[in-house]
Amino acid sequence: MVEGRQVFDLLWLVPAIPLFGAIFNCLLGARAGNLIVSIVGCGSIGLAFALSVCIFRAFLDLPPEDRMIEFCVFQWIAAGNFLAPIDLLLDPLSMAMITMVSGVSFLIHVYSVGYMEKDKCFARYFFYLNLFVFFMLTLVLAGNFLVLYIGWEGVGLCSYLLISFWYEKRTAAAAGLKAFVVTRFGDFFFALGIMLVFVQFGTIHFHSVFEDPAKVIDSRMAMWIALLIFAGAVGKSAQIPLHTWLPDAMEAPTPVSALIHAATMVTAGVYLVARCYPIFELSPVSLQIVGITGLLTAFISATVALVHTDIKRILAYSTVSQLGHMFLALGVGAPAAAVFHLLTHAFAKALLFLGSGAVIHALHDEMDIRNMGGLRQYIPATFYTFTIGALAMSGIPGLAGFFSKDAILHATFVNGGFLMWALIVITASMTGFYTFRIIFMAFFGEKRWDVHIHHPGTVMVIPLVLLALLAAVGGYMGVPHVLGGGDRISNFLAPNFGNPEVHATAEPSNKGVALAAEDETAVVESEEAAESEKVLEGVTAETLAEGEGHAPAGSPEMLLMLVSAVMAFSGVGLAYFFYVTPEGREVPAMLSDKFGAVYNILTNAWYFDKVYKAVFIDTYMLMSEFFWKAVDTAVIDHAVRGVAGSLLGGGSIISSLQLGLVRWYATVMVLGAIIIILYI
Amino acid sequence: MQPEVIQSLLQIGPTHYLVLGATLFSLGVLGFLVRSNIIVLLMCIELMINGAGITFITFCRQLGSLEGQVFVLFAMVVAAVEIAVGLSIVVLVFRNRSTLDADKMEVLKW
Amino acid sequence: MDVSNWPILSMLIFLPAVGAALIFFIPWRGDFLPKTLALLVGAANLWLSIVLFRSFDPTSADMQLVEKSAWIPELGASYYLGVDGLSLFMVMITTFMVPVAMLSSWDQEGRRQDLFYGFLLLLETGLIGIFLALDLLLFYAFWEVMLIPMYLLVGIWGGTNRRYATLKLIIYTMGGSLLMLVAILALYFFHHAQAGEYTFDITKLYETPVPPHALLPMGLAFFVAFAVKSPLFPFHTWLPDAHAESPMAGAVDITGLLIKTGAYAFLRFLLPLFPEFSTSYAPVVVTLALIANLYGAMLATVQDDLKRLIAYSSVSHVGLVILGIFVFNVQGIDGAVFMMVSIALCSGGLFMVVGMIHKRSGTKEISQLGGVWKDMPLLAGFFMFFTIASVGLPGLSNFVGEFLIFVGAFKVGVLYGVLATFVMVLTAVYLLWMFWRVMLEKAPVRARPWQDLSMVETITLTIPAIVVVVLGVYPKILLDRIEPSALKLVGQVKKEAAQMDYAAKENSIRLAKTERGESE
Repeated sequence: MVEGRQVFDLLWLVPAIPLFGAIFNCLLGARAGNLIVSIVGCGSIGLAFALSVCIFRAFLDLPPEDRMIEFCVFQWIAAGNFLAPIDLLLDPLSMAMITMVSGVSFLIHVYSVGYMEKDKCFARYFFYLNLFVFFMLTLVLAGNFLVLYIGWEGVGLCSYLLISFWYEKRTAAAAGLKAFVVTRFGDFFFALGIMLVFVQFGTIHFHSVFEDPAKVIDSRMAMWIALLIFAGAVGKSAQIPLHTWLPDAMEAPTPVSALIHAATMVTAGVYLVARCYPIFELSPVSLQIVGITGLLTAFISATVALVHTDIKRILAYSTVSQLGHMFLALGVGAPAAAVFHLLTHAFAKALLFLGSGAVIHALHDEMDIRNMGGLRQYIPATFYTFTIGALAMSGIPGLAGFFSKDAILHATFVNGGFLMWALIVITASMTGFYTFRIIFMAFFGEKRWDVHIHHPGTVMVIPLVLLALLAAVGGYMGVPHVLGGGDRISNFLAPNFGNPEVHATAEPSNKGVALAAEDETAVVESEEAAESEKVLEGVTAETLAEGEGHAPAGSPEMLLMLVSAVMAFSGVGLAYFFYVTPEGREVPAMLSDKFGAVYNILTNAWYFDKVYKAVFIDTYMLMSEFFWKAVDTAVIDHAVRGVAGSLLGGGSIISSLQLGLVRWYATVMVLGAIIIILYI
Repeated sequence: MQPEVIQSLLQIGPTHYLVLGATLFSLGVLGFLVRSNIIVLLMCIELMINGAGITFITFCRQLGSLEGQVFVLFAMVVAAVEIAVGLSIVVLVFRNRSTLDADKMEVLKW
Repeated sequence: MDVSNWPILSMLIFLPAVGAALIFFIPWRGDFLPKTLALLVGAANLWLSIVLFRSFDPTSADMQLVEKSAWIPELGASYYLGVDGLSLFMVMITTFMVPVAMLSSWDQEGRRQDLFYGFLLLLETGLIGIFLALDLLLFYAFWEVMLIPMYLLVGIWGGTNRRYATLKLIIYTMGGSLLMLVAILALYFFHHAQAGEYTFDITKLYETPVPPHALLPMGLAFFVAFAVKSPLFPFHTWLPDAHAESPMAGAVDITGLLIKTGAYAFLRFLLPLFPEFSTSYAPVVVTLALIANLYGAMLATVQDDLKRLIAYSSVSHVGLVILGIFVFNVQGIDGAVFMMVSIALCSGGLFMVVGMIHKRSGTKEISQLGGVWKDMPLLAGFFMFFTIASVGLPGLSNFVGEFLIFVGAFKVGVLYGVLATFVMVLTAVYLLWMFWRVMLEKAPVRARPWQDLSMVETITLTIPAIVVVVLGVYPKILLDRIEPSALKLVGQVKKEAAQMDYAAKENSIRLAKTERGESE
């Protein structure tokens, strides 16, 4: 046990080692040469990963109720009663996150060595990437809101820097700015949320805030705090209406898209909401908003992914859609499922991005899937790993994505109602369709390109294989009880979110009753909630009764699972029909002709960008221009110049008396003296 | 003329000094106003200072205090300095503009 | 060396003046020696301020290292200097930025560089005098003295439109300070009427209640003088012109230091001298500050001249500082003082980078630049650093000040907090857009690539960059020392509020301790 404790004392090193790597690459990278840069870059992340694995092992040895370890590194900001030390907090949630983040980062760093080897700015790239990992680990290890905010802004900065990495491209510069500003808009609300927490609780320390928030705030205040925090998450995790930056962010080098814009940074929003879940639980309204936002995002971005032809943009919209799934899970009271999906999605999506990176690399920066095809024979390793990722992503039974997505679908059905469930199942089938559309268009059919293939080197293939392994088996950490699994991930996260089985139904109603005692208006709501839960309980009674045991086949949960699996297969099948079979070939073009209006909406991504430009950017620029020309220059400056001018004018009249002649002055003086004497 | 009057006129008293001082001062003022050569102007200023000095001394003697003398001593020092600085400026001005006419020097207006 | 008995404050003020005198009155041959001398004097003064920092007692809210002797006893004016938590860092940032500004214009070309450096030193004297004076007349003297070197720096070494800029600078600031002089005299006579003593000693004047009928005009006179210098909307239009026309070191000093005097004077004079005025008109001031905050940011967005852009960003930041001052709580005032220090570093750094670009390109029009990164990656790194520091990235110094001000504003009124915080979006917009237009994309074809930073330039930029990081990571160095004075000031303005803050602080410390105890 003592040994374990010592491991925990090294916790601060987990973010610190990547920081040292970043500092080294920043200061000396340009002179050190690519080999040393890549050793330092990958090595520091590898060390951090090894350390977090050690900590994980020691952590598992602890009894579940002790799995909450806090460190104060040093006092950071202290002003009056506003205290913000650098706190680190290790609990199951952050433990899972740091292991995932450092592990996936390590693989992507290794891959980057191969992907970026020809780039002139190799050292700069690894500097940014290491810095990103530092901020991301700070984010997930934070023990109070402000430390989380450090990481939050820091990853945003690194995302900006990496999107604009090839700075000579106009689109890259624009995309970087857009990403930073749009997420910053979310950060604005998040910052307000932190302040509101501080004003209400008198502290921003996680442990003190989340211990029993119901004592301090009522559900109305909880709603405000929850919504402000959620707005921050919406920006960072690219949810509607702040999702527009993520597709553009694909200007970044592909490993960056894999790391930042798929596996880690964009999931920070999900992490944030999961972290603040005690506050969200106090306010059913805010949870509903989270769920509906997630659902809409999942659906809308999946529809856009159906028609895009840029391989990275399809994956980007798919990421947005999957993040929507996670928020839906949070909204329907299944935070453990959200985190589970976050992890499996990280593996699968990182794999898909790295695979697409290999494809792009092979075809000399070609990103349009219409110009690919037949790559199966040329880069087989990429093909197989990519397919595993796609299968996992689409929720094909047996692979990681299936289990996590199923947990979400189940929770949605239980707590969200049939309509939400139906919509999300349709989205699930679209996922299958667009992912396999990439596979069928890129890897099958005739070749539509004529360049010399770049074969991915070993350093690029190994991470692909490892990630494929994770994507394949990662789901087994959360096999639900009905399939005979132990649902280990939920149990592991139980200290954060409470007991998984009870949580879904009983917990909210208890909370509702507790609130009803305090709040008159909440009575109606909670009664309604209880009412609807009774109905649902009828449906799930069987499952609950079988909670710990093995459910017989044909139980509702099994049925749901079957439906979602069928939907996923149907999506894949449809893609096969459209893009492989000769009969289906004509159908996509026919459809797009027939439903031209719909097709236009989808290719323009529902016109979000155009509307935003007209409503926000143009208005803002016009207003600024107006203030400058009309107010600053015309009104204020003219007033000042008017004062100055009148003084000058008056002065010039009087100054005409000044001839510059000494004797004239003397005469005037004498005359003056005479007048004074006479007057006396 | 009555002999007493002549007597009193011949007997030098404060009035004489005051008249002398006033005359010198007025001469200085007049000269300053009518002449245009800078050197003459400087000399006129000297006249004025000396006129004022004589008046000072007179009253000082009359009132039996020393303050007036202190003033005059100061005035003499100032006058000496002023002449030194003034003349050197005049020399420089002459070198630059080849004239000593005060009316030609009107650059320093505003 | 035993420094405990030195009159450090007087030395801080007059050492630069002596240096300036040496530069002016010794007929030097060439520029190098006087420049080196000036730099040495600046460095010596920096060392003195570090001595000051070390002998400063962080636990006390009182004036420390006080020096007092009669100056014009007939008028009741005394030579009265002292330092507390509010002025300590103003002095330190001044002594820090002046040598940096000197280094930044080390290879500047043009007439009479020796005089340029002499005036910089003279400016330092004026600034430090303002921050240390505790006698109103002495303060006023330094307040005006500072203008002269500023006027000459911009007027002689400035850009093409410098006459207009200097005239505007002088009209604005003189107008304000004359009003203040009248109010100072009024206060002086009121004090005599009540206490039977003529004095300019502010610690005594703090106690003087101003008759209600005179409160508004007097408070307003002080307010306008300080608002012009700050500059607060709508008295800000001199700043963009002065910035755009001033030479690099001058611009650094204006942003870094000159405009701090206004905000500092609010803290030292307006608030404690006229607490009733300050509290009753605080909503008006806060509104102006919020307008300045957002309006400055909006105007910065549409500027094409880099220096003007940064000038408007200063207007925006100063709006935040004044907001922090006029919310009258510890977070706000701590944040405001911290922010002043931080703006000096961040905007100063930006100015120097812009100056270095200007030196190579001969233009500061954004539309004529672009793609600078390719030629000058090192400069690009520094530009990025100071840009994101100004944007308020946590871990760098601006964030600490900004966030404390936001918190302070939010505590007083939610709307204040929301509007103030919104500026973080706008700041990101205009600064990063500027960065894009200057540094990114493809460069227009140039005859030959521009040289990247020289050794001196790299050092010049590295020094403030390090301080920005240190203050951002460990702001306690400043906050610990500011806080007692800030609490005292809050107490002077609002008695009850301060007691609450004290109590709350005790409470939260106790809470934090028990939490730690339990968890470990």
